[in-house]
Amino acid sequence: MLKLNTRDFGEIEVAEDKVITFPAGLFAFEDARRFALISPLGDGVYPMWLQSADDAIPCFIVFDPTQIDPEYQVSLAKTEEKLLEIQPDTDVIALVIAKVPEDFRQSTVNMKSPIIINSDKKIGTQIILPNDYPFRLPIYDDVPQAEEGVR
Amino acid sequence: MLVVTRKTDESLIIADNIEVTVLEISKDRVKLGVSAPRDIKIIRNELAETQEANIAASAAVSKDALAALLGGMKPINK
Repeated sequence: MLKLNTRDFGEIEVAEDKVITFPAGLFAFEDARRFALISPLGDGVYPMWLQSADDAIPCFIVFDPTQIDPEYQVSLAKTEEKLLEIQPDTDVIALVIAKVPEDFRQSTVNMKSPIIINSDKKIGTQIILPNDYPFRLPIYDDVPQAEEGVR
Repeated sequence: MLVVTRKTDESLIIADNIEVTVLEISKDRVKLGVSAPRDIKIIRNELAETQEANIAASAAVSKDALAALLGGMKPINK
């Protein structure tokens, strides 16, 4: 087991096989090379937390983009396939990073720059898609909440 | 915003030492060449937006928002 100092859950332990290597880091966090994918809501249930394995920050709350947009398509450049060591039968997942403000209903996800993970080899990278996907897609009911006392 | 029409091989000069040249024009893309001093940072705007989004996303999350997420709030389908 690996002890992690997390941003949102204090100190926790995760299995070593939950650790994913990011050879190029993430954009703006190029030095963060090891992350653990934590599923506090249960195995396979989103959101999950992509937590740096070496420090409390960076930490990202991530969603499955296909649960948000069933038509979501990812295309990898040759260099990205090579970095991720992807073969024709490799199990690959995509994650999108959420920004969760004080009022979580205004949370958005970055559909333009997904994280792609080779689940077999536990290698990940962040890419920027050529498609016209939004950087800030609202994910919760975006109807404004009625103000307190107003019916 | 300054709007200028340029043809292939024509260029623009910014602040005396940055030159942006239109190298190639096709149906929906333009290939640009930028000549600038080494200390001028040039990045695609998507990269800058992704960096900003990552930094914002990595900021601390409030206790209430965290509780709501862990309470199993499901995203809506778009």
